[in-house]
Amino acid sequence: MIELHGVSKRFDGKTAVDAIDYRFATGRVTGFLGPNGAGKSTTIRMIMNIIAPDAGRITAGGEPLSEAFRNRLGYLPEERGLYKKMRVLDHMVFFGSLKGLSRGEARRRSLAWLERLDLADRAHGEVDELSKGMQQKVQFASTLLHEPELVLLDEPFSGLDPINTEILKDIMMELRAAGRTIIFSTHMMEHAERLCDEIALIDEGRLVLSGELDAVRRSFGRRHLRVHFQGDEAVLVDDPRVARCEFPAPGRAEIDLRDEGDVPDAAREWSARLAVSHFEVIVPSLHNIFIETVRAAGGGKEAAS
Amino acid sequence: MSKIRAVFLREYLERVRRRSFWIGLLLVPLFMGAVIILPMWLAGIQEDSASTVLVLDETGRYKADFEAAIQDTLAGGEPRFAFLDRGLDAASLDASRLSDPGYLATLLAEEMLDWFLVIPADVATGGEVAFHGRVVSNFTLLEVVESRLTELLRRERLARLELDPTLLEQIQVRAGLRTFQHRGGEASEAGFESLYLSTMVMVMILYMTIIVFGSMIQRSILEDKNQHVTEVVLSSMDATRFFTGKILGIGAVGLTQYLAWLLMALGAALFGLLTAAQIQQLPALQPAAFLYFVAFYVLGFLLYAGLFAAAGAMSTTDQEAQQLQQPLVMLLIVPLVLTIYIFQNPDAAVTTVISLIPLFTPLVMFMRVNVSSPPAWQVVLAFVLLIASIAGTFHVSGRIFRVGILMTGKKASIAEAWRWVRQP
Repeated sequence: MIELHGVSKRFDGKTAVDAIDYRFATGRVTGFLGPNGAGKSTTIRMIMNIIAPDAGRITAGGEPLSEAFRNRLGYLPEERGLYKKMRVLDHMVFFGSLKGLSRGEARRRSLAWLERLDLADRAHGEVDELSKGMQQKVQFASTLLHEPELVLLDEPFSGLDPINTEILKDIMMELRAAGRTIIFSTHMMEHAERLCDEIALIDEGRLVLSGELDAVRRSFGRRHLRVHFQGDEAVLVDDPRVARCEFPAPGRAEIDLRDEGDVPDAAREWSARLAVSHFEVIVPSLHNIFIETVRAAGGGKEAAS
Repeated sequence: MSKIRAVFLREYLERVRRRSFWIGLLLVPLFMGAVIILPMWLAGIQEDSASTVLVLDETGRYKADFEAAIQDTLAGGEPRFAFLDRGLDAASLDASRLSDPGYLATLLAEEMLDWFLVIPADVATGGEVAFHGRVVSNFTLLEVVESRLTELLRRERLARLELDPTLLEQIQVRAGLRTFQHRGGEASEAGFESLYLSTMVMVMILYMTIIVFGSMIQRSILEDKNQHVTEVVLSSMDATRFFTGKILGIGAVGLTQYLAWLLMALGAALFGLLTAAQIQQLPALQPAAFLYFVAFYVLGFLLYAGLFAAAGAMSTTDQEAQQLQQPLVMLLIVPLVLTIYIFQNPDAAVTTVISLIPLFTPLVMFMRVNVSSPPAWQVVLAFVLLIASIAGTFHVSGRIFRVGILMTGKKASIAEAWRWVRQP
């Protein structure tokens, strides 16, 4: 639906986004991943026309993004904000009418959302009488008032407590079931792992990895092992077939082999030299893929959580 | 268009529904009334207690007459002045030193004496009388003292010329002067005071509302920034429309206020609180003046709103905004400082030039059209220049706004803002 063609942006001589080419898949949930400062928010802001790219084009179906198109987008910025002194309902009506809804329609839909979010009794109160979590919900609902076809959520889970995180995830799953397109940025892989169909990983302004989540995982191969054992750790550490080896606990190892083909040999040899009680080929977690990719790209100075 | 309307309605409704708006609406007319009525009322109240005074007359000729001439009675019937050397208990006084100014000065300091007067021996030939008191700012009293003494001196001269002292009363005459203002072939009686007062009241309202609503724009922009609302708005519309909706919304709050005041004045007239003469004196209630007033408010507001908006977009905290606001307020004060000159010379070359400078036009041209009848071409030219500079200001401010509104953290320098203006 939205295509980025060589999009770049520099701030004060520092490159924030560096020639990104990407096509967001329609009707799917795309996780826009990357360490802090990778350029995720800048890219999203360029899509929303808040800032203009220095180079490259952003299109939808080959056409530059028109305002009519942007009216069908919903955007939740990373820096949340509501007018503190406005009444909740008035505020939602304002956001709705910014997207072209009539005031009456915006009002009707706002009331329905407030009902659903258990905030109906707060409709005529001022925003700053709400708790932070409630304000987040109001803002999220405001983003969806005009029933956008595409929703861009910049770090939607940051600052949310677990209960509100679940509410938000439920709503996202509903939108996905209704065939809407969702793009959300996060640096928290567990959220991405549960929600994404597609991922696009950027680091230092460059797109370093992208595609369907399952395909990405498969491409990282079946050379990741979990081994429970008793014996000398050096047998594993010094094995030339091992690319990386970590010991989350004594007698437990997570190992990346250099080559998928080495798995049978390694299994045979380690069982002979150690008391192996568990040997498993595991699907790499997004977390591991993320760290591995970012490290390979030489970036991610600010470690991802 | 519908999005400008959304921003407009938010800015307008959020302000009009606040209690502070309604308080201001009522407070300003009350304040204006107080400014006009209070001094008149206070002036009518004389200090109502007796004072102890002393007249030292080195000539020995005027003392008795002067004391009789200034004596007056208080509201309660007792005499206003008690003369220290007459019938007072002299126990605490050294009567022999009452002609020694040094001793009198100590009496002043001890508050046994309120003031004393020294009439020099050569007063009849130009010697000056000295008034010594703890308070020398009561000009009503000083005026009475001076005029009574002058009268005594005049009488003495008349007597010396062997003329009848009552001649003095007979030659007291004053030429009455009525002023008629002619404009557009019509003459109306207008005194300087009523014209000055009523025009100044309107100029002050113009000045205050431009500052109040101009700085409201600035605060509103800062609020958007600090409450992180701008991103959502800018993702739905471009900065120019946001800017336009904001300025129009806040400007409309000012117009609403004027309309309410006009209705109040009309209501007061209807219920007889204002007399026909007062209505005639209130330029705001003359159709032409009211139209000028609204036109100069709208244009003045738009010009300064553009400047205040740029100042708001460039700053990130209230303090920074205040700093940037100061030069703008100064610009608005310039015409107020020049008021007396403009009133006395409404059509002088200097006044004409100042009234054509767009930053000063709203206040200065408004004064001119009220006190004089400037040539039509000057009024038209002033409007043209004003409108052109509003367009220019909006162009420049809109660009500063577009970049500045997303900027947080630190204030932009003028040089930086200029770069924003020049980038495409």
